[in-house]
Amino acid sequence: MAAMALTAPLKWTERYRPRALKDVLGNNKAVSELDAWARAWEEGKPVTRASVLYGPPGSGKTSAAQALGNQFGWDYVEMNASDSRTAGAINSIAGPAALSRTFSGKRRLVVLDEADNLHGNADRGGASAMLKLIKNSCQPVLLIANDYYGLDRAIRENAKGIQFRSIRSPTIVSGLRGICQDQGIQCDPEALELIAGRAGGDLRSAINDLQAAAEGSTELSLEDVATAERDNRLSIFQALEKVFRGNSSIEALRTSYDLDESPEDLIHWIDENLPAAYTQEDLARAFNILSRADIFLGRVRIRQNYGLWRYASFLMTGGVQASRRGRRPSYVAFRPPSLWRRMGQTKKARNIRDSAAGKVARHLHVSKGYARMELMWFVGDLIKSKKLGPRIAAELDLNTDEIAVLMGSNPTTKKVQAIFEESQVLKEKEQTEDIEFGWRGSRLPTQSSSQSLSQTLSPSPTQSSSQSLSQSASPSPSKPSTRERRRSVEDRVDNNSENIGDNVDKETDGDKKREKKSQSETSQGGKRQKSLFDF
Amino acid sequence: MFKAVINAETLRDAMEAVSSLVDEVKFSITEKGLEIKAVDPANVAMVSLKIGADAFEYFKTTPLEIGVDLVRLNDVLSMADRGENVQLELDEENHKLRIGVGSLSYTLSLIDPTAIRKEPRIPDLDLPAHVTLPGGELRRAIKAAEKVSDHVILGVSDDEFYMEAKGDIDSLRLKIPSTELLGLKPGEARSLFSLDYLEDMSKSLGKAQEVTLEMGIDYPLRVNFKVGQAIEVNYLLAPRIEQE
Repeated sequence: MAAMALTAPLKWTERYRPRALKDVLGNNKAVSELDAWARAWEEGKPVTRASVLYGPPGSGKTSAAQALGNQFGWDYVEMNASDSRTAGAINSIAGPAALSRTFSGKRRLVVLDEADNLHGNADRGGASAMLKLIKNSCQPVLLIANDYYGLDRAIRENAKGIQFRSIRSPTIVSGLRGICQDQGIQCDPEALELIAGRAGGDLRSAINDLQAAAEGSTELSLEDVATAERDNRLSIFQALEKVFRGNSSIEALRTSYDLDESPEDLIHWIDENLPAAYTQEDLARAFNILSRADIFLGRVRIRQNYGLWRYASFLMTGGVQASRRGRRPSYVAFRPPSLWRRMGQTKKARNIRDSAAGKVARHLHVSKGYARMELMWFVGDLIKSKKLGPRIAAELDLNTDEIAVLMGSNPTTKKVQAIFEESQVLKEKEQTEDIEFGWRGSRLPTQSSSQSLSQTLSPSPTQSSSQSLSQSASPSPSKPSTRERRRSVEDRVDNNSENIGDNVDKETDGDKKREKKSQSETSQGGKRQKSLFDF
Repeated sequence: MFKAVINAETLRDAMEAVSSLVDEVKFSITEKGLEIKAVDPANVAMVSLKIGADAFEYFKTTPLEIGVDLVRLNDVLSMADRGENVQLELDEENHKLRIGVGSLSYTLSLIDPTAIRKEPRIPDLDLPAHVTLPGGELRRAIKAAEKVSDHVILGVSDDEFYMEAKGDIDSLRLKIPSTELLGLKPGEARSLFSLDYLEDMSKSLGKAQEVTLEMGIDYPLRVNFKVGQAIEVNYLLAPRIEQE
């Protein structure tokens, strides 16, 4: 539960935690703000019940919180990411802690560490429980976060924000020196500087590095440190730099290992920036190689053999680099793939197009892809005709957006509106006839409802079998790899954007499709009934 | 070395008194018996419990500490029948507790005691008012208050013990004059407590013949009672802060 337990072989980061606020390294301004906030609590009601300590990892936020509790002799209750932080858990631990007195009569510091790191389902309702907590608390509450803006706005407005910055390298060196002295380790100042420089302002990682290099020995030299290198993640920009401006294919490949991007994302980055980096024949050769990498990515998708990624990765990094014969490009301002942006922008339009294609496909018993590629223009032409237009729109149950897409026009134009309105009238008529039929059926003396139901459904078995037959027989375009890939990008863009909800039936979505099909079957069945009745 | 035999129901009731507040505890075992001190994750309630050596049918040990997951232990104990005895034996090499219940024999993996939250220092409070009443009656009062609110005022005035629960719409007041109490030491007492905690505690104090409450003004509540004949349980609950 609340992590206060300390295990036997103590990590130096725990052992050398500051005991009082004045011992906290760096961030003097933040620490004095925190001190002022705490004193306000000691004297009575402060301006804000809660404060948010935010800043990069290893900048001393948690240490400052613990030092604060220690210095004032306050009781200390902490919940961090290792606790479940659902609304229930927060209400049963932090809640009573914030509303109760302590046994000692002093204050109790309630700390919610990693408050920006609530995990979806596992921490359901956590954010609103936090807000309630900081609004009602009778005890000082500290939220600790890396990303200030990862917290809800309401939380930020109800708490005082205190920013912690990365710790400067000389400060880290002095901290490390203190630890070495305490441990009785003779240390080379250059070694400490190297550790501090590598840590990039993260004191915790610097102390961990020091412990890894020096624990158990009495001396720390530069060599001890030089071997123990941090496993750093590269940014995509560093990787592109290596690919486009480096000199070794192997090295270019290695950068892709240190990257937090899958080859499927990396290829878009390279594709986007290639024309900016290379010219003429180099560009042609590089694109040729890149297309081969793409083929491998396609095969990975089809065969689900992720071993093939290694070839794709090598082609898109080392291969692209090796295809440069001309001079090394000068500075390139790398851009994120415009494809992703375009996919995001066109999402709404694509959804409308797909839903229109879906309606056409369902009616003509072909796949949605086929309808979209081959039949949309044809249906569009039919709709344009004055006589057929409204009837088709009614039959397919099209809305104005879909009519406009099919006609290649704008949904606000009069023409589109006219067709839509007429189709609505037609549909209404159909509905009245349906009701009339139902009424007629009910005139039959017994079993009226069940009979009419069975009548409605009777043609459906043959219907469904023919439909599934025609569907399985429908021709599918024979370019699976590019289609697959495009779909993957679409999927991703859809998933990335917020409103997944309006993403109308996806081709792969089996359940939904079946459901829709059965709906259309019954409605078609109903129509067929009507025409029988017309005889 | 630790080896003991005890009545299953006694041990079960004792563990229940602790597990209503915490999941993992440290057993401090000496020749005098077994002792548990624990504080809940919010630092609001403490429990201390002593099972004297004479409460065991058989008890032999060297001083030691073990960490126990009470949820698991209670699972095992729930298999025992009423009158049955349980045998406890520590397997020090493998960090396991062997528990024999009738013909069943469990091995329960222990937790590193250093990984469990430090035992609290139980404050020595001098609380002016004392009230003694049957556990069942207190439990009923807590249950009634729960219907109305999530917090409750406990207090003593003149020579009666009272309880007030105020909800958003309903309120409840309960008075027990000293003549109907098992004992009363009058004093100034009135504090607000969270019913969640009282409810958790009432599970085991409801079975006790007599429960003593010790109170003050905006001061923690101490609850003393016995489980069975020889097991002393002591709860300490911090008061809630009354909001304006």
